[in-house]
Amino acid sequence: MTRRERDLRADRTCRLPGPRPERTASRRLGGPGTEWDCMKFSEISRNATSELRATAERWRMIHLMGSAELRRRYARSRLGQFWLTLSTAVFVLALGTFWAQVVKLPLETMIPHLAIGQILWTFLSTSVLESTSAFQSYSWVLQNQYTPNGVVISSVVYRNILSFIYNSTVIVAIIAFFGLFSMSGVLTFLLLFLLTCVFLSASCFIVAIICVRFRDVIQIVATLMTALFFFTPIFWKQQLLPAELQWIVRINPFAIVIQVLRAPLMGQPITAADLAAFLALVLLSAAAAFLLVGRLRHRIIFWV
Amino acid sequence: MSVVSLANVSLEYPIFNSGSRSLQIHLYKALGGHIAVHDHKLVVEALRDVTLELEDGDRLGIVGHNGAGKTSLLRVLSGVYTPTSGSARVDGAVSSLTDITLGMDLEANGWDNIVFRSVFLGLTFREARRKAPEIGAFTELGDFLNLPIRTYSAGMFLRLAFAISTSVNADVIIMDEMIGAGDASFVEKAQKRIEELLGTTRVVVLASHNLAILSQIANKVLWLEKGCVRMLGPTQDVLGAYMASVAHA
Repeated sequence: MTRRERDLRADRTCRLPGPRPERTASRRLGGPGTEWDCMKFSEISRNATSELRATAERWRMIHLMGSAELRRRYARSRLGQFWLTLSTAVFVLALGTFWAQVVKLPLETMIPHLAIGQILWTFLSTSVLESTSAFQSYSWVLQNQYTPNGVVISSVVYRNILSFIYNSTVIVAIIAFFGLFSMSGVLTFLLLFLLTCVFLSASCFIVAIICVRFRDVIQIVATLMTALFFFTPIFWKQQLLPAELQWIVRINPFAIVIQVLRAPLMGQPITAADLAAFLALVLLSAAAAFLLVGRLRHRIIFWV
Repeated sequence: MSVVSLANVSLEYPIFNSGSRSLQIHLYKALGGHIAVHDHKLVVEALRDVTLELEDGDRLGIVGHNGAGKTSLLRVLSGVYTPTSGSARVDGAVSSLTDITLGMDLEANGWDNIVFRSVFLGLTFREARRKAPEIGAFTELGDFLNLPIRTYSAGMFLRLAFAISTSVNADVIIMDEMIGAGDASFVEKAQKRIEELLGTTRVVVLASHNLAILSQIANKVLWLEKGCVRMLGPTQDVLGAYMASVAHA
């Protein structure tokens, strides 16, 4: 396409929308101006907000799609999801006990540290990994009736929150056993967990959009997550890291989130640097997702 | 005022090959590399300049060869696709019945599936539960409704999906081929139910290859060819011209 043709094309698709339809029950299905080059911020923000609203309106669908996996597990076995929780419990206890000997740390710090870290990691990384193929695997609903993209992402995150809630019984048992329970710690955790869900949904949305457009990124994300696991303080502690390697924890978003969520549960203070980094992550990811979704919300369906 | 209004709707979408799907290749090209991959970004013009007004009571049939843009147009109407240019407006609730099993869960039992499917059609949980007895009775599945639907035969499954999907109250109903429940004993009952549903819906849009059904139901027919409106008008006129053209080809 020549320059001129492109300009003409942009011109055509950039036409301003005609008179707004009456407000009543009417719904605008679309309009001009979905090209990258010619989208104003006001339009992006209108798009993103309406995506958010349309997603929230469909919370029932999100609930049904998100809990389908859980129902499936209970359909065939009475213990259902608890099988996975049980295996998580065995895994973190066995490894925690063993690892405490290897790194010569007392059990009462190593087991909670490892257990909470590992369960949070599973929650975060599974969400991200599942979102790499989220739009592809929910194409059956996206293509058959109007469904906001956010419904798909929310279902993925919601499904993982449910698994996390099951797994958190292990965390509760461990902090109770080691006498680490404190009301203020749990409340702080819950507040930060809510913010984590914002960060996670935004990141999953971004990852899902990139992965549905560029299919080779799916493998890149998978590899990256495996690598990041080793750079996240789950099997080791930040204090054990030499000073010149401390930056690893500072730039790894998963490390920041896990540090911030784990500290209150273990009765430790959250460092100001960690908290600032965490809040910055939440804001940045939300802003990036807002812009990306506002730009691309109508294009995603063509890439599925 | 019209219920559905499309003004000069065009829809273009990209078709990707493995090259344009790859970030590595995009980056490499951005860095000035040359790659011997045939990477012409293909854009399909699925609809061009479609203008259409449907009012209360309109029953629109859509005909056209495979690839003429029927499904694309249905998807624009249901809101799945946003037109690349032009504008599409629909007043009121749209129910897209292109997949009448959407939202059903094989592991759950019949009653639960009535609720699930109804929620996908836009009902609240309470509304869905209130409607369930009527839907359950219509299916004549009796105690089978307490079993997971993976145990159903294909006919039973379809009967349930049909019964739920036809219980909706929408302003606009969109169908890709007529829906039905094939079971011989059930066919008449199903026929009556769909007629009732279509009778009370403000606007119905049906894409079909079955011209007999179209001439029964539709008062208007749109003939699509290569994404353009070839003809739009009263059913008999358009179907006549369409059949003549098919016979010639």
